[in-house]
Amino acid sequence: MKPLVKTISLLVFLLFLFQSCGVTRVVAEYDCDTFDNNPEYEETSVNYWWGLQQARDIDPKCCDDCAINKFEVVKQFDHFFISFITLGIVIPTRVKWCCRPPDAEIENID
Amino acid sequence: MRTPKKLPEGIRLLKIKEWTNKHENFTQDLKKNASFKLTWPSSKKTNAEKYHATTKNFQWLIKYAIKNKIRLRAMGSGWSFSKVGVTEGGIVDTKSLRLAFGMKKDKVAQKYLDSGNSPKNLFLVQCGMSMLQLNKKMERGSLKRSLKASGASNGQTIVGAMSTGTHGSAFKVGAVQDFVVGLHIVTGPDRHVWIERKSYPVTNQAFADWIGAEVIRDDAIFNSALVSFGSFGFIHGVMIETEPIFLLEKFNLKFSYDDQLKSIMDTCDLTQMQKIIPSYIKSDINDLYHFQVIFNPHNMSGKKMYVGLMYKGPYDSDYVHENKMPEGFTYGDSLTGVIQTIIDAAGGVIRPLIPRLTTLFFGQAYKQVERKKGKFATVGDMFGATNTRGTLASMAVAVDAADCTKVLKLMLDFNKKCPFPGGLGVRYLKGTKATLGFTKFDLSCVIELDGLDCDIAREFYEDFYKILEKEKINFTLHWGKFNYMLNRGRVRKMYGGRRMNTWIRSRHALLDQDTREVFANEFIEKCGLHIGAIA
Repeated sequence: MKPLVKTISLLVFLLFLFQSCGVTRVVAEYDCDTFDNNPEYEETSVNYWWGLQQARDIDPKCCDDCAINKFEVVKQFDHFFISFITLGIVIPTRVKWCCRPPDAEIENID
Repeated sequence: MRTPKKLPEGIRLLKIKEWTNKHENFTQDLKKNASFKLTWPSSKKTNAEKYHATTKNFQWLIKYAIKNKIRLRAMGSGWSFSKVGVTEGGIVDTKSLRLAFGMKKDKVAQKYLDSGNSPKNLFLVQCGMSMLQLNKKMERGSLKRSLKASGASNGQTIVGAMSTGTHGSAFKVGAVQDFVVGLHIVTGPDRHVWIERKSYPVTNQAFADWIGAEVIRDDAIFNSALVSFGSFGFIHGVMIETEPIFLLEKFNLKFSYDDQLKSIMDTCDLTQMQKIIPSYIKSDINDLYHFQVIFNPHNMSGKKMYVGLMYKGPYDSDYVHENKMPEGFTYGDSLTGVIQTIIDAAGGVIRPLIPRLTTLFFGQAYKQVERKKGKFATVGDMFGATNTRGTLASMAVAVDAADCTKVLKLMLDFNKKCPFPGGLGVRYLKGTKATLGFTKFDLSCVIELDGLDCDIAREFYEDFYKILEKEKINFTLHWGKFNYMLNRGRVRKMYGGRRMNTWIRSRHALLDQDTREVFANEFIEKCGLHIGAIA
């Protein structure tokens, strides 16, 4: 392989490694009670000591019926890397969610 | 700015300092303690009480913004590609505001009833109602109504979609704003107004008493406020006009880009269209509701033009709503962002590969397959959840339909020299009455260039814009898509000084100086639509 092709291949590989992420998404309905990408509805949770010490449960701040419509787990390269170099002592995971919007019956105006 | 000591019931502070739009094209910095979420005040028992209390909450927010000299703007779903709907101050999250009210005869204008219209057509809908939920309410319960038009998907809020001119390809109907017939706007700490057209009144004094707002029946003000990007105040509710439920029957056909198709694309002429439609489609051409053409500009030889047709027909009581989620794999959320970074890093070197790359991803992105057997669906099911993900770019140019293929030729010629990393969609709409609605032509043809958000795409948009200007094409740009090239001169060229003046004067009629400042943003300043900008 030519050195230039090798370098480009390596750069592309590194780029994928650092920029990409794996997303697992559970969706009840594609509708949320807030705008897209609201930073209030995402958090990075860290577990320590192979999961023996666990982060506290997250309050989703869903105000009406406390239901979640969408939940996703995002695994980025830095998460894998930190878990790897700490031999699983530190396990970060990013989670994002959105709450089910309120839904009221249509009433006639009286 | 200090944290507000006590907030009214139904207002929560959002502790956010920045926000990135859905398509990840920009990040907006926000001021501390300037963003809020609105919900229904829980102590209020009836829906009417919740609605009225929320009007007061909107007024409280305006008072707070004036006092603290911050800019505010209501946010829908945050789908716009441009900064049209954000301010440098704060965001007001309205997505939990989803009340809807039906109308009875005693609240409806006599003139509306005398024209043979039914009160059942009308619904007052709160601003945060998503198109998805609205469609469900209309179609799935006992109401059995249909929205007259929709965008290509259903994640927007009704007011967000209306305020930027969201559209599909309902060429006999128009865009989302074209089925809105009344607006309830909170315009100051002590003022809120109900606006409808003088030429098409829909409500009477009993309704005015219920909503408690100052009534303005004025075509110019109403048409200006329809597409106003949130800069006319907080649009709390809209009156929509619906029709009895119907089904759409969808076909997707493949054609060559020949003279016959070109002629149809310049006219939407039904007689010509009938000639090319295969005989197995039995639906009456006069029932055609939706007509669109989608194609890959790098691969047009042979039958590569996907023509989407939807016919309007009666509802079938045995109809079953679709709830199926697609299975298997799709492209990852980060894929488009990674490709964009590679293209940007490689610069001009990668340009010759763009046609191949686009062809490779076109099928995955557009999911166009030939569909010879009609698929039946309601409006809500037909225009469902979006399948796009990650960083994307989109620019939509509206021209008079008669100029459609002329503009496409300019685009395709330029595409040979400077390949565009994406696909094209051509959609048609009946002209809008909204003063600054971008589908302003009697029969508007919207050419959508969707692709990767990389430097090459942005350069393409900019150069293509200049070509259209050079060729003296009369065109406009979608307010909610890529339009960073807009400025006062260009907006004036697109809409004319008279329309701009009408829009600005209408805004001045509704908002005093302090409130205008609250609802201003850099975008409207740049476009010459803010204070003192009368053209």
